[in-house]
Amino acid sequence: MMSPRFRKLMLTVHVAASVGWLGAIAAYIALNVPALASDDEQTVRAAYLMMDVVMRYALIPLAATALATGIVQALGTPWGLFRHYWVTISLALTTLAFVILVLHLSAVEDMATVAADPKADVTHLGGDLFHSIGGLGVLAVPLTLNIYKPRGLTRYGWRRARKQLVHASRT
Amino acid sequence: MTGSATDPRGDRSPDAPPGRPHWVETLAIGVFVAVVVLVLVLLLVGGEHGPGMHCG
Repeated sequence: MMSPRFRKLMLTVHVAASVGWLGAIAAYIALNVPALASDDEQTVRAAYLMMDVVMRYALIPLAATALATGIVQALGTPWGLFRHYWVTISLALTTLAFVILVLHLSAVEDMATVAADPKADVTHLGGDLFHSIGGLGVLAVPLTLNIYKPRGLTRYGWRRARKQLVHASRT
Repeated sequence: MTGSATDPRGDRSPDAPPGRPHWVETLAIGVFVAVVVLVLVLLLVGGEHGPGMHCG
């Protein structure tokens, strides 16, 4: 188990990174507005270039930090990774969101490459609202679960709890 | 800090493992419906989207 001081540090970093991840998604969605709706070609190109920057230097680092500190928090406290449904579901959805984010980087990079070419046509790029709004929707579930912490032990968690109970009654 | 080990359905023997909580089943149904709607929208709109587009 983690010391109380280290646990609080990890919790602080985890909350900051998780909130930052959501904020970076909001920024990414905002960049889709000029990319899809602006009549000014330079603004459209700039928006696609910035989407690549936000993805590379904000979304992915913050997501990786949130995922890593979440795992450390779970393993270093009595919650565990697979003992409670809310922790396991949060882990699964956060990992899914992170994997899709990383795999999607090449597509965003391709759009930025097209936008950086002054001769290329940017009208066919079509923005990236699908992934950003989808990501926000997926992350809303772990966000809610982490705040409400609904009850429910997994079978593994129940076995662990029983073992501890038996062990405690013998000592 | 840990949650209660009691069974939310309350009618099982103490030796039986707990059932899935109702909120997990509700969430699973919600996720299933969302995925079905998403697939239908993608099929109807005809967008070129799939896991393959992330690996190119």
